[in-house]
Amino acid sequence: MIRIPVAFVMSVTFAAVFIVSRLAATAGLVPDDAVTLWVSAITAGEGEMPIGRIVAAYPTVPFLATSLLELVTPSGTQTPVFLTAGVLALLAKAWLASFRRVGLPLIAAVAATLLIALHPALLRAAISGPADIMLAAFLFLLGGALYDLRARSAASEVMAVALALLGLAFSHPMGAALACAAIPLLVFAMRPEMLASSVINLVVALVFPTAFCVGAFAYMSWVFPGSGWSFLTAPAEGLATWTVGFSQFFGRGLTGSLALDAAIAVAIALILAAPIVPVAIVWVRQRRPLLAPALIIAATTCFAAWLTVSTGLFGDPAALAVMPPLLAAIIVARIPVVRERLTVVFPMLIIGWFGGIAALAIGDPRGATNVLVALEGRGINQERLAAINLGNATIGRDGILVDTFNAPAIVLGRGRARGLLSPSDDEFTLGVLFSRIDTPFVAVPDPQIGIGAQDRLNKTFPLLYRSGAPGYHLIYEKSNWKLFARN
Amino acid sequence: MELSPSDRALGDLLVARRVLSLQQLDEAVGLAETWNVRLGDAILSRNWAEPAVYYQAVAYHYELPFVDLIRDAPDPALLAVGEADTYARKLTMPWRLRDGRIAIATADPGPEMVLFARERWGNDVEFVVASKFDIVWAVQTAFADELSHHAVYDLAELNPEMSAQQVFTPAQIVFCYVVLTLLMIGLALAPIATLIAVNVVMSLFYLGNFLFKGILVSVGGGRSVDKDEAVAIAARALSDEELPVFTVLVPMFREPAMLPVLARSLRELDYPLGKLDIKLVLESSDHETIEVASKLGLEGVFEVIRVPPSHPQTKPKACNFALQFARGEFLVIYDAEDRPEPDQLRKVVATFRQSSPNTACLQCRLSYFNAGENWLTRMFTLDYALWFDQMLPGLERLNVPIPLGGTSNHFKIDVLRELHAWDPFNVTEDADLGVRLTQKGYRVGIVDSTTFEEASCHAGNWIRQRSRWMKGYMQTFLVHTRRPLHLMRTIGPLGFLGFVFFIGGTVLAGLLNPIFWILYLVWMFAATSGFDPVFPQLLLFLSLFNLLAGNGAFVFLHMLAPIRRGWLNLIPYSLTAIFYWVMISIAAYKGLWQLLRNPFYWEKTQHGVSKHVVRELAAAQEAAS
Repeated sequence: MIRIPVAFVMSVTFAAVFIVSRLAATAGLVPDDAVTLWVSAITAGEGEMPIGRIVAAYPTVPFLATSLLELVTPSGTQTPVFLTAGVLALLAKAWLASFRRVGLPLIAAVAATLLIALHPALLRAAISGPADIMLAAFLFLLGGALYDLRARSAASEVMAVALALLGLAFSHPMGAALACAAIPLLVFAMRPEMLASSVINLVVALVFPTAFCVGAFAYMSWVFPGSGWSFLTAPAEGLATWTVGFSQFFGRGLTGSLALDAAIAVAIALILAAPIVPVAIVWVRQRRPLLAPALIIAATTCFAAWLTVSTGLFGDPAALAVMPPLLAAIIVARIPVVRERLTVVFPMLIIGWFGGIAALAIGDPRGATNVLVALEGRGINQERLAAINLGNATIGRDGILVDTFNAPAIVLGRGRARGLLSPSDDEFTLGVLFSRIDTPFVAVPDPQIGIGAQDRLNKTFPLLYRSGAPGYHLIYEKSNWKLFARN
Repeated sequence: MELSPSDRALGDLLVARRVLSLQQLDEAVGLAETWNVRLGDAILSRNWAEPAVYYQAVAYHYELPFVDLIRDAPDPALLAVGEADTYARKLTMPWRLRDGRIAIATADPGPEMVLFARERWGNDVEFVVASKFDIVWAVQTAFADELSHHAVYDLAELNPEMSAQQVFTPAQIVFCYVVLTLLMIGLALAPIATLIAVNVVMSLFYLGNFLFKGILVSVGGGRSVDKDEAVAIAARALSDEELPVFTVLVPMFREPAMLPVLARSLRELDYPLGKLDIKLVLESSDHETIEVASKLGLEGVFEVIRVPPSHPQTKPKACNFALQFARGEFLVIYDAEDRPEPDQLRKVVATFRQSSPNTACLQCRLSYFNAGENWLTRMFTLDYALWFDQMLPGLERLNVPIPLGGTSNHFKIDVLRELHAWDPFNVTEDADLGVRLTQKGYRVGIVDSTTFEEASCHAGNWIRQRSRWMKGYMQTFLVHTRRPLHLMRTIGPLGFLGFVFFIGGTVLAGLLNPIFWILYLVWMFAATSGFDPVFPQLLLFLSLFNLLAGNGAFVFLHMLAPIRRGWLNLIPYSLTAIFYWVMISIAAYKGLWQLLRNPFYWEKTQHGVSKHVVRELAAAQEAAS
């Protein structure tokens, strides 16, 4: 009986994510991180990535999931889109099941599920790729686990919270920020009798898997000389771009402290995108077991935004925009009084859906700007398009020396990594080291444009783009890329 | 149930003979009616009358002669070895021929016994009264050799493929020989490839081992609390009247000092004492403990079973011997230092009543009362908490055979007898029996009741105990893998996998850990490239992943273990688990050595050495003096 609604909800969610992702890809709205992740997965799936880079790949969970999917799907499949849509569809299934379990009527449960699953913040996460949607999944799991912990605080509940924190930390840099931010707040999620005993020891148990895995990950990255420690080096560029976008939206800010402003922005986004949350919090203000976990999730997210901006360690806090619909789902599933007031809940969810659009403008100003640009019909990422075109042009040719780390979209355009000689290959390293090119093909971007200035080949061979290499002739030139073939 | 007229008359007689006071009689009548037992059981369970005096009064009441079977032993010609257990259970046996009639000695005269005796020995019988203890003693004396033979060889003779008497079967020896030969050939022809293959197998084993145990903890943690609460309520609701007779076996060896503490623990059980059939199972050579037991003036529900000397001298053999005298519907084994929670037996009865008919055994949780004594006891407590509070419930929910813990396993006595009880050649006879029960289609369940034990607090004592467990696990693994297909068929693929990882994996991890630790330390500190050919990048990754993830996962599981009991102060000690694992490995190698050299030797764990117990014993002695 329940199978038809489940299939309906999952299909609608899957299709919606698929369509939105395709539109976003066409408009160039997919973030660079997502492209890099996909390219890494393609490369790893083909066995072209050295173990050192696989081991040190971060965010680990979406990378491994995408790579595995890449391994089992035919070449050319848009694995990140399938993965993202699949995860969100599974989340939708979980929400529907939990709403039904707590007694929501079928129609109401389906409607609430779709309002949450297709919330702008979750669609934005879906567009941003597997890392963002897995962040959402683990944040949802953490929320549920915190409610269970507050109710029982037994080993399996502690295990669930600990593993949710671990999943968060390894699914997205912002997940790592959330995990760090959650630590001081976890004590409030425990039962009072636990608080009375050695509460610090219980927190040790909660954070041990994450702390241990971070240590182990660092150690493995050190043992396997690849791009080790990369997960610790701050994606400072992402934060800088976010800061610019934020300043464009809010001018000089609200408090004079950017970190504090970021936290406030997250809180405002929560109120706009999930007004049911503050309303429900007021309803259950006297009932700590129901109140504490919701407040912890909200506070953790605000604290993570503050932490991210103040430390510069975790990159772009825009991903935190995904929190409001998740917290709304948790609250509907976990707070009985909410379910008894559906006439209030549904208008709130609908308002939250529209408020989510405004919340995205606050939480992800750069993304909002990009959407506006795309709606005006202007191209967002011409450099990526050029790299994709070059990748297309390399199909059927093998042994192409090219800096794919700098322009990963080449792999997307080509559809595979095999045949490309990238900086992780010995031929590339030796060529750069001895300033000698003897591969069948070589491709470089114009050093005068942004992407070209960072190109490792351009740095070693400054005249390569303009003059070519001795013994090579030009076979492709388009959008600031040139491809040379050996005579 | 109202007392029979005969028992009422007996009570009046006891008062008239000043054996009992009137108040004691009233109380005894009340107990007998509440418990639904004979008046004598109530009186003896309260120690209100010397057994000899009581039985003399019984004889007087029935106008029968009273005999002392120790002085006037039964005529061996009248006794049949095949009926020894009947004599012991019915407390009735042929004594002598008198004027052509068989005189039947009984500790339980009454109409039912008369019917039984006539059915068994014909109408031409007469009766004498003997004390319960004399009858048990007489049976032990008369059939010492035969009962001892049953205790040692029943399983080996009737179901030899399930007995550990033969350590390695010829097929197992051939299998090991073939594997070793193939390994040698591989090392000679393609050493690197062979070592890589070995490494892959070991790495996969490690991965499977910690994944399986993680799943167990996760599944075990999800055990329904409601179900446990329902059992607790049902246990409280059980009236004394409907409780069955429960046999309690307490095997002891050279532990006279523990007797007062043990007796107190058993008295504290919330179970009608008159329905307890407590047997102190002592080696007949252990004169010291026997003497203390007889001088202690224990209640009549305590019986001493003297186990005649024979090889192997193991706890399961002693229990098998005592089983032949057991009169209960259910049976439990406690160690001398055990402190079961008072409502344990009630919960067991309630659980048996609620469980499927094929539930033959219930294992209670074990933990330690001296957890905080030192580092070792804390680690041991974490270990037990992980095992009994987390993993065993996981095994139960996944229907994987449960290797029973050494004590506090409660059996349906009929099933125990049907399976020829414990394997006296296996030094973890309990773990073996758990697997055997599952193979025979019976279910082993878990009861949410704890028995607190004394954790070994000295490294030497701990290693002796653990080496025995490791050896026993090896024996159990060898016995049940003699017919791997049969094992898989009887316990299912998941059960088979669980058996391999839980029994085999525990031992193998203990044996392999030091090898991998040493390899890792040499690799890390010597900065040698000698391992590079054997550890290609992918394998190196897998090995390091196992090393890190495996150790990390087990440390985490140890952290979760004490949460159920709220012993959060133990959590930080989980971080030192690596040193505990080193001790486990030492024990594993010692166990392996013993398996090859002295497979049936029982490494005795010294009890009564904990500061807690020493203090308690001192207090008990002070109270006694």
